[in-house]
Amino acid sequence: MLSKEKAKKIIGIEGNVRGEGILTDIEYVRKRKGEGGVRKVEERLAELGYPIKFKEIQSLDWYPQGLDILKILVMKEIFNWTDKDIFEMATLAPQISFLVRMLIKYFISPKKSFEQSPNYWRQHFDTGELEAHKSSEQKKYFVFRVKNYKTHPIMCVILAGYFLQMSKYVLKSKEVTIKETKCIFKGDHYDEFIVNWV
Amino acid sequence: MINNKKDFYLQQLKQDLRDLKKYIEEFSLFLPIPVCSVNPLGVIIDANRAFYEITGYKKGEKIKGETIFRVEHLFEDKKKWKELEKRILKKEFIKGEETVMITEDKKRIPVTLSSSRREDDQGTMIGYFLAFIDITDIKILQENLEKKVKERTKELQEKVEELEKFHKLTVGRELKMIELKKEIKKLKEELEKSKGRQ
Repeated sequence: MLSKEKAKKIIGIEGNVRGEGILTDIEYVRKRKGEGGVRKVEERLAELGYPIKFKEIQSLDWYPQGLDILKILVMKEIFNWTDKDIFEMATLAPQISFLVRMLIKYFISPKKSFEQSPNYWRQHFDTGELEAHKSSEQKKYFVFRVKNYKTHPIMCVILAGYFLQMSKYVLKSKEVTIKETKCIFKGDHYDEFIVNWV
Repeated sequence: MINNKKDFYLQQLKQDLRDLKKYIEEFSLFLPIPVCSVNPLGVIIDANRAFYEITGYKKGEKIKGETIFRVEHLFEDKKKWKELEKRILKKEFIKGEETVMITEDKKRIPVTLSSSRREDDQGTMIGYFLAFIDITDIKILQENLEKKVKERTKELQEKVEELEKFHKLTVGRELKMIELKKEIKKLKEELEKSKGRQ
């Protein structure tokens, strides 16, 4: 259960995210839990000391990363969602995201998309960096590394969902998987995600 | 002073972006023709409300078990779609091509398809737009008209046959009458002759 103290600590997390990231998650809540579900998230955030009206969020403006994370944790708490639900939310988010429509120019081939992925990161976050570390279309893998980004473990789930979905946009294969092979919260210096396909 | 100017331009740019986004969203909502934007790998990146209404699919939800929306799902004749896709990717502009769309609940909708290629600043193809016009009513009208034409043709054919029969009959009668008249004339002549002999 989230406490005010814990919420305060989360809100203090460094960095900002685009409002679009918050809005796409809220859209997922709306689809699964209706408008009442969205209100519940707002009410719980207010109880924790962070009242916010999602209707007032502007998709291209920047908002504290902590608020985005707190909102995800609130969703988990009130809807009893597991990491699997959060992962699904992250994979469906690009279908709704306005930013993705703007970034369509990057989704033209596996190679181009992989090379341009750091730009995609900068469109969403003002901290940390995404490194398109290694890829092989022959061996069918992408390796992404996220550096200088230590926010909250739930973001590992979110990032895995995003990277998987972005990869699906440029791969013809219907069997695409992702695995987090290094985690900054488990003593590694960065997060590493490997995307494989058949 | 410089910072003030920078802030001013930044604020202005943000406002312009917001206005642009709002305009695109409003236009997309209004547009009664189903339109979608597809990347070169055949994944739908964006679509307007009319598109979701006609297809029955829902934005931000799994499509046939996948978190991405493959454009090929829309077509009854996949082979024909592959040929059309080849033409689109080869820069051909498609206009009013007749095809059949399959909706989420397996309903067949006859449509005409038009496409327009999308390119980035360097002229690289980044995808294409597809627009669908529902021609169900036109098809029904066409079918009804064809049915009526068939019925009328059949009716006419029957009338022609009747007329032919009548013609045959009347012409036959006429000939018979001529023959009879000839016979009467002959008999009259014979009668006159026999009167003269007496």
